[in-house]
Amino acid sequence: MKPILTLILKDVSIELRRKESVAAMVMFGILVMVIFNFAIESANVDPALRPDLAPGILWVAVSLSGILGLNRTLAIDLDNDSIQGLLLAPLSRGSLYLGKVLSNLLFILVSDAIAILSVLVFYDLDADRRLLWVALVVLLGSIGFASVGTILSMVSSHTRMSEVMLPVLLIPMTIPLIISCVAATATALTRDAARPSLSLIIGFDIIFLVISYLVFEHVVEE
Amino acid sequence: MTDRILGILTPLALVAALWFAFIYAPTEATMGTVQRIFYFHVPAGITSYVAFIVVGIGSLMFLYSHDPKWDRLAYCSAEIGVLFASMNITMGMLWAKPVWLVWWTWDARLTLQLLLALIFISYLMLGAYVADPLKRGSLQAVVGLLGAADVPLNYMAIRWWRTQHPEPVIGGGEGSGLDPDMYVALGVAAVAILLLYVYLLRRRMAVEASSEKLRYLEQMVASR
Repeated sequence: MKPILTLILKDVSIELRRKESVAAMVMFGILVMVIFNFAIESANVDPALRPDLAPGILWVAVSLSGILGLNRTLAIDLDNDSIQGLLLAPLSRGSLYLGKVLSNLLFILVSDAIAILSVLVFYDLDADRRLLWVALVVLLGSIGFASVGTILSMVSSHTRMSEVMLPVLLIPMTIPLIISCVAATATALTRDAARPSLSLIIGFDIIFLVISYLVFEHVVEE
Repeated sequence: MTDRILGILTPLALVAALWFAFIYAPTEATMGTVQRIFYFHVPAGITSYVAFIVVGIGSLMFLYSHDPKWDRLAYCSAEIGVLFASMNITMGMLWAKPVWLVWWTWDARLTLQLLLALIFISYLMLGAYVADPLKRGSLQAVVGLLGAADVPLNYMAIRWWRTQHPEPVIGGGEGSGLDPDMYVALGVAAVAILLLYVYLLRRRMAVEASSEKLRYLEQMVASR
């Protein structure tokens, strides 16, 4: 447990000094919503129906800024080849993977929190109990996103154009997660505050965390 | 020897499938002749699923044993799987335009097939862009395994998503009862397309094995 904490502290302290990844993710998430506003404008959406657009727009913003963040945190490890230092450190490949997942998840969640607040403001949601359900869906969805994203960002780091390869690999793979998260968010935001169905999201999280944990050593081995 | 038998059997089966699809099977009552594309559309779809299952098995076995033959199996099967999935989607669109009056609809099965093709196209792209040839095998195996694990989740998510929002797109698809002669034609075509898959896979793996050998020999010569 301790090496994992050390890894997270390392990434957090780098981020606190540089203030790059999270700032870029937050900014990017907000920009996505701004673009969406103008993209929707042409459809003349009834203002009363704007909250219905919120789940989809939230998840586009969350997943795109998540990809941006994964690329940034990977770049930190690839600069000066400091990934070699991590691989030489006395910790198992599985712990290395979990540490990276947790620090990625931390950054993603910070930017998600801002994304939820922005969607609340821009798409006229009511700040009530339902937002707690949305936050839970976002938390569970981000766990799955970070667990697949971490291993795929390591995979794409071995390619000639890693920044492009990550979304190409990650987006098709996370579609079941995105589908379930959008649906769960939409359910949580309905007027009668129905309880969203989370089983598929949790299933995705568990399956991909376990498989990635087991195969991570094959990605980083030399 | 097996390849030679398959090489003779596959074209014969394909010709037989053509005969069954175009002459033996009766013309469908409402859709007319365009329905005959079904005899190749469905087998191509089934074969693409078989191919992607093989990718998953090959990837798992390669990670377990590091025997290059499993990597070759997974990689070549993914190529052919993408080919059959694209055939399936293209033929589906050719059929859908006159029957549903649209090229595409976000129906559960269409969406699933599209996503499956996208996952394995990204798998093939990864293979093409990996910088270090020695790492290609394990990286692709990891993605192949994750992709195969994604297939059932995709299936459940899309089913669930579509029942959440029921959209009356398809009126009486091909599922609702077939003429017995149609079943015969479908069966013959399915066997023919599966034979084609096995034949292509074996030939493609042989080509891949020779090019691996060639690369190895080139390296030996260069290091002299």
